[in-house]
Amino acid sequence: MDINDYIQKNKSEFDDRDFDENLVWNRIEKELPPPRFRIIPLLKRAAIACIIIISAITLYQYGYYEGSNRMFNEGLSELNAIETYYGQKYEVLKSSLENNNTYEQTTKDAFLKTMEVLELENIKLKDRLNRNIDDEKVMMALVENYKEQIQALEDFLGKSQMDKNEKNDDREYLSL
Amino acid sequence: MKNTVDLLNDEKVLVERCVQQDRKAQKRLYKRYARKMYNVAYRILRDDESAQDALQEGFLVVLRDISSFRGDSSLSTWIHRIIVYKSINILKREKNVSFEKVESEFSEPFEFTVDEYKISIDQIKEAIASLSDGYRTIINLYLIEGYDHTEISEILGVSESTSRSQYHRGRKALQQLLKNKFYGH
Repeated sequence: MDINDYIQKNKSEFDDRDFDENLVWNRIEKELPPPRFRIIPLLKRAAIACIIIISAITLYQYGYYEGSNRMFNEGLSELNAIETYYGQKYEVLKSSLENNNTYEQTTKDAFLKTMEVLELENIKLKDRLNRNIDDEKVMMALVENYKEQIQALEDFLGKSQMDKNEKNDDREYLSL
Repeated sequence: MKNTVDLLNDEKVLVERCVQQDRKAQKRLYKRYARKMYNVAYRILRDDESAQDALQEGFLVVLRDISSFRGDSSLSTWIHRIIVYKSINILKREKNVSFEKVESEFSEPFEFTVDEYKISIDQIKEAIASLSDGYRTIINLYLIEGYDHTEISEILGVSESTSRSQYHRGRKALQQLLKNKFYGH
């Protein structure tokens, strides 16, 4: 093997001397400019902490909190719309039933008894919405519940109207 | 998440931290290369105190001017070059070495293989150490540090042809020393 190749192959063996690394480092350190890393990062860290805190407060106040309120308000206005449309319609029909003279009170009580299941379900659904106003499934179930009650009332009252007409027809027929 | 110690293992992060004058990073960089660079300086200067001076001067340049490190070469190569320059400066300053000076010619070229004479690395190190400052420097720069003649001419401030001729003379001198060792004259 050529001497050049031999040296190249064993290059690492030429780094065989040791010295006091710390002694030289202490000499170097004395002549280095003072470290500024510890000062700047402290300021940086303080600035970052401030930004995080301010962001968190902002997020809570204008973001999450507002968003949450907006969602709550949206849910609430939807419930109000349901109550205004279906709820009032139901109440009108129910008071019509109460004022209805075609049926005997016992007949009306029996009908209202059959409606109790739907009314109870209506109360439960509203209770669930009070706990989570954004639950769309419950909201839809409430609409369906109102529709069923309204349909039942309309059917019952419609029947009474038909009975009333039939009676009037009978009277007209008899008067002839 | 990586901690600071892990991050400093990354050379790029280490350099960035050194640019910010982060003392911990500076010490880490020094410790990473100190022993190797001390040996580079010692091979040129053949004196412990002078080698430590070269290391101190060199690392001060490295740590103060690290923002000028562009990454065109490796960090190791960049530091190596600085330490070599500092060592050569000290050699010139303290020993008044001239790399232009033509030293005694060796009339009998002696080409041999290390296998033939079973030469050990220690014997080669000993022979290189006993060369004159001029030849030893060029032999070190070319054979051990791995610089070519263009680079050596820049480092020593001589022409490329001078670098070549001095290297060939130095190599002959080295071979002569080894020959004398084995033939006893």
